Amino acid sequence: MGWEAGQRGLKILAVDDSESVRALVRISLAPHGFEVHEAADGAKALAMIHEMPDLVAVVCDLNMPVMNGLVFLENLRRDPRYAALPVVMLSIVGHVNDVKLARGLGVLAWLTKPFEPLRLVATLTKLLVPGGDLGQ
Amino acid sequence: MRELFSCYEVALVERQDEALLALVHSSAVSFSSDALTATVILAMGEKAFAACAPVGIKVADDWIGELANQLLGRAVNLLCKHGVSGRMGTPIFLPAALLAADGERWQPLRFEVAASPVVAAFVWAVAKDFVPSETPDSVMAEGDAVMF
Repeated sequence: MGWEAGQRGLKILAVDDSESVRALVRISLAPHGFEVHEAADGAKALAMIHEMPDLVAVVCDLNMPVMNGLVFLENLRRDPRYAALPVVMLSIVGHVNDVKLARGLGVLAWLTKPFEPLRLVATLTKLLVPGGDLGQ
Repeated sequence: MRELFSCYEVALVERQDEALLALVHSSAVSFSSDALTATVILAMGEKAFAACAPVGIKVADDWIGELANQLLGRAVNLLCKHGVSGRMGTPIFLPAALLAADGERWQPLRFEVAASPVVAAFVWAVAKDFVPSETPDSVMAEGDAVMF
C-alpha cells in the first residue's frame, strides 16, 4: 500500500486570491488523492468552512484582499470547533514577524512561493496521514 | 527575472529592440513602507504567456499578476534583509497598451521567450532619511518550507 492510499478524498481548502495559485494547489494535490476546494479570500474561506464539517486542512495565502491570511486565522481560531484545524501558509514573503504571528495562531507549516508541488504534498501528508512521509 | 522564470522552467533571453507593441497582458503590484514605495509592472505577449504558464493555468491576467507578485516579493525579501518592513498590495491589471504607449518612461527590462516579449519595470521612491540596516535572518528564502 502506497503513502497515497491513506489520504484518498481528504478535503483541503485552498485560500488564495489568485485563481492560478489555487489551480496550482489543486493540480499538485489532486493526483495524490486530496480533494481541493477553493476560496478567494479569508472571508469566503470562513463561510465555506462552516459548510465543510469533513474539512481536514487549509492551505492559505498571507496577502489577500477583503480578509488577509492572518486575520482569517484569528477569526478561525476564535471558534473552538476550528481551534486545531491544521493550517499551512503558502506565501510569497516569509517575514519572521508574520511567521511568528502565524505560529502563535497554530499554523503548522509555512511554505514560500514558488512552491514545489511535491513539497506541498509531503507537508500535508506528514501533517495529516499517520506515519505519512514521502521519504524526501 | 531570470531566476523567477526558471522556477517555472522558462529561459528568458535578454532583448534590446522595440518589443512593447506586442505586449498583450499586463499587471502591476506595489509595496509600501515608511522607508520606500515600490511598484513592479510586468507585461508579456500572448505566446510568452502560453510558454510560461504551468499546465492547467488558463487566465493570463491572473497568472501574470501572480508572477508580478512573486517578482516584487523577491525584491521585498531583499529589502527585509536591510531593515525594511511593510505591506504588499494585491495585483491590479493594466491595459498593456498603456505600457506600449508610454513604456519607455519606465525604462523596462526587456526579455523574450517563444519570440514573444516579456517586459518588467520597477518604479521606486525612497525616503530621504532611510538608512538601511543588516537583518539577514528576517525572511525565509523563496521556495523554502518549514514545519513547526
